[in-house]
Amino acid sequence: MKLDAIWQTLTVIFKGYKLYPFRVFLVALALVCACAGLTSVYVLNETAKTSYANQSQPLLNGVGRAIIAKNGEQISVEDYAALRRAGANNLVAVAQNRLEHSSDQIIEVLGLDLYAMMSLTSLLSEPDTQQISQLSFNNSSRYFIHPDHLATLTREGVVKNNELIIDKDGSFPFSFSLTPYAGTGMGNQLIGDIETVFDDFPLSTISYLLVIGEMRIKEDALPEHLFVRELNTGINAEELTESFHLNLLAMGLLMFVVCVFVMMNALHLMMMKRIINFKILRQLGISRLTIIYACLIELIGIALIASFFGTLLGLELSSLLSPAVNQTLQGLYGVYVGHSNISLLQLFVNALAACLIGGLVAIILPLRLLNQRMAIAVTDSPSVPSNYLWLGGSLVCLGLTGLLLWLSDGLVSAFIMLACLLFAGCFSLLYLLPILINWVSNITPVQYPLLKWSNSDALRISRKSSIAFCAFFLAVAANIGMNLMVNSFRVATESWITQRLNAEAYIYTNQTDDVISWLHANYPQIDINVRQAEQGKFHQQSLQIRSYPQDSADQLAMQFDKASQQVWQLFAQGKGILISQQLAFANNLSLGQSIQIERHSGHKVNYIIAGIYLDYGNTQPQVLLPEDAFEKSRQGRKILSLNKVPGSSASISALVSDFPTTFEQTQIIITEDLLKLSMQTFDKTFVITNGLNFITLFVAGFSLATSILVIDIDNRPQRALLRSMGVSSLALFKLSLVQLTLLSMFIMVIAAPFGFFLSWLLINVVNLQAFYWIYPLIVDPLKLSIVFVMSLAVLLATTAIPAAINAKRRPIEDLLCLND
Amino acid sequence: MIALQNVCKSFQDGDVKHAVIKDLSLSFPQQSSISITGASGSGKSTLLHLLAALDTPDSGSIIVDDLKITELSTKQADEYRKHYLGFVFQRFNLIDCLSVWDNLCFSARLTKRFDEDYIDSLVQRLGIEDLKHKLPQTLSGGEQQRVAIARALAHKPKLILADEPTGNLDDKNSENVVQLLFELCETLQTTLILVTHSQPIASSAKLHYCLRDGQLHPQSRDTG
Repeated sequence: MKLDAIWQTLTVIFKGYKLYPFRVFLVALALVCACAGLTSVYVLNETAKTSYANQSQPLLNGVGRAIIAKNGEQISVEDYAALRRAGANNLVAVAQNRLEHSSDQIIEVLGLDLYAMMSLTSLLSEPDTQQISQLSFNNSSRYFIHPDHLATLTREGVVKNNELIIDKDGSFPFSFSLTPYAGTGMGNQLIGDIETVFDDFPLSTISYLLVIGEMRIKEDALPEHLFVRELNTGINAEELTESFHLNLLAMGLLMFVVCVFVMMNALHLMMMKRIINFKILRQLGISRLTIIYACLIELIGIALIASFFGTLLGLELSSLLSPAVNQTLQGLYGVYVGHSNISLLQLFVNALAACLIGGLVAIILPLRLLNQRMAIAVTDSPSVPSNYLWLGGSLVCLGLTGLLLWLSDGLVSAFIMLACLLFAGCFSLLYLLPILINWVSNITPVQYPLLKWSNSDALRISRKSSIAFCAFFLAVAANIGMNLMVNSFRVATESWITQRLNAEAYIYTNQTDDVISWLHANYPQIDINVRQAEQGKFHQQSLQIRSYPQDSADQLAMQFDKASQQVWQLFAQGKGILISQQLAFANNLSLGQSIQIERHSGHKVNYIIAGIYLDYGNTQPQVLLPEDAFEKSRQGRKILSLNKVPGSSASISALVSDFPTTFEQTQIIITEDLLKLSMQTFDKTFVITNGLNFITLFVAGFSLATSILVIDIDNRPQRALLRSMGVSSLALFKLSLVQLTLLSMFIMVIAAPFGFFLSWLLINVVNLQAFYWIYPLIVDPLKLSIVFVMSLAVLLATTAIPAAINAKRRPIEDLLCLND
Repeated sequence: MIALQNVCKSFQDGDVKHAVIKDLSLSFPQQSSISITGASGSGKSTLLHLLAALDTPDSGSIIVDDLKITELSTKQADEYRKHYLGFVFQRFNLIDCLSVWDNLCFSARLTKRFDEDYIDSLVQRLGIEDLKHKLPQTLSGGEQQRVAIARALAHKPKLILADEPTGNLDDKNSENVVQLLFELCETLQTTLILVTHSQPIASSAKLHYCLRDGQLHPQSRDTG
């Protein structure tokens, strides 16, 4: 193969761009959107994960314990000094403060006793020693910040010339001088010497004392108000946010797949436009292989450019979305999102790889068609696949979905199953759409010739832009599936919370006895129920063990997935326990089975499973035991449920307003507020995925609209003919809208059952594999109508303007193409 | 009566302005057949477009049956084309997604002038009875043009404009199709204005003009 032949072909391709700029633009746009979607999801996920990792990782390696104060108490400077004097000179005081630099952005300010730390370098690892030396010797600068975090804040305009200026308490602006330092474990924090922090935050106190190395003082010798706590608490946050990231990733991948379809459609349209020139090239002696190589080289070129712009757009999109993500993660999990350690080059390489993979997948079909068309005589029409081929494809994919449903035992196979289902949907669309259009065309009364033409023309459009229809179908089906799943989850959660929270108010406290005494003294007509809690183990896994009351109201409040007939009898006798759905699914446990649980005390006890209950939103497995199974004297955080004694005049709202603030780390919540808060939290979790859902729908709608418009350009003679017959431009515009409405209605009708099935699979397979809980699928007509209206609106909005421009073209311009 | 009064039309090509019709004044009698020949680019099709109110002259006016079509609004021009005109194109331009019968009935139904017996008679006259249920792309060029002629006449227009109707047909088919067109227009008392390159076809019309230097020059039917 001669290079000059490829070059000549490429010249023809590039010079042709000015003849069909729109199609080239569409290919590039699809790639840019695909890259931007993936990049933004990747950046958001990585940033959040880096933040959890930093938050869970101690500032110093091997430092895993700290001394903290009990509720309502503080660690004073005197305590710190006394402990050091008593031999615990391996303690380092830490003061924690928070700065709010905008309504939703918080920076943690950490003050460390750097002088104490310097004297302990012999106990630290080499990297930690170097880190401490750096921090200590550069102490002239007030605060240290991770360079990536500094770059983020500078980009957001919060930091200028390494100066962070914040009106921290509303009285005067305060300046923080920052020095970049890439220390391990430095997340969304400013780190400075504790003295500096005390100067800048006069109300600040010692938050905890880091224990470097082993404890040099016995725990019993600690003052009454202090105790030792393990530091590593970040893993739970990571687990908790898993659902959030899984959602985000799923939507990012879906957006990518839809964009691949969009690109396939655009490449197909582009190839069709080029076919005449390629045939001429073939007549001039250029081989088919040369032409195909040239097309691939062109695709690589477009992928390079698109991945560059896609990466930039993705970064911009992630910075636009990050306030919403931050707000969600902070609100949900208390994780303060800071910076990520992603390099621009790495992002670009990832985007380019995705672009090339997507591009190659997308170009296979158009190239195959091109190859066929170049091989046959000009007068031959291309072979149209039989309609039964699509039916066969659909049945095969549905069969595979069923097979995987039967065999599925992991998230990967569950995702493959979802892909099979969506492909089955695409094939069904290709099979059913012509049948439906033909049916409508046949029943259209002959008295309406324009409508009859419009309906018949819809068939031609559906054949020519089948790939774009598939992309739109995927977006609509995914939207229906995701919306129904989220709505079902919402309804299930709301109903579960409403039923489970049968008390009028709850108190969360570590000072159970004090709170109960106060309640008895001041509100004797309030019925108090104490819920015991402890941490146990099952098969070496951490397990929440809780008490559950047995009165009739609480029995009614319990929502079971499965329960034996004598569940409450067995429970009351201490023979049977209740386990959460998560524990049951994760360990394949069923009713009547005996399980061994290790209690907090270390005792191993055997229990029979009497019931499996719903416990949505809790990623931890849980068991419920009767109150008798707990040691009443055990201290720790407990929940008190409060109800008025029937017939009494006591008022819960009065109790809430009278409740003393002197009980530290005690929270009283009215059930109604708790329900509202829970549902707000729930909605926040899905706000980003809903946004991505809409973007995907918009991209697919845009692709379909442009595809139809490009086909319309090819269809100019037909429209010109109608104009020559006196059909007004307004009538043609209206017909375009009617045609689009009809087509999108058909797509939605076909997408609906696949959306339902998708939703069912998401709930019963993906949710089960990922979180070990399931809930009933609820098909809400209102939600469904919203998706339908939104899809139609996206399609009509993206088409209306160019269609109106087309319709406004003077008839003579169209007429001139009639005899071309 | 179709009257052109001082009609001028020119096109801009870069910096150069090409006048294709220069101060043309002429009248065509109704219910007649008129053929127009001329060199490529002489403005034959432009004249047809002006008569169809698809384009407007730079100056002058065109009157068709007391209707000054050069002063029509866009909507009125659409109505004029719908009710008054029938078009026959070089490339047939049948609606490919509709059957032959639906193509034939299209304009008639659009103008609410659907007359099944009349269209059936046209079909028989043009010898396309067997093609009624076929799709246009399955027909030969000659068959497609016969369907196009039937469609142009189906809504009983007063004026048929034919732009190179035989341009895509072989000699034998050309002769047959044009003879049918002339005969039908005469039978139905419809005015036919036909643009062609073919001298024999042009000679078949009652009036034959040659468009040259922006003016229509009458031609003798024998000499062309």
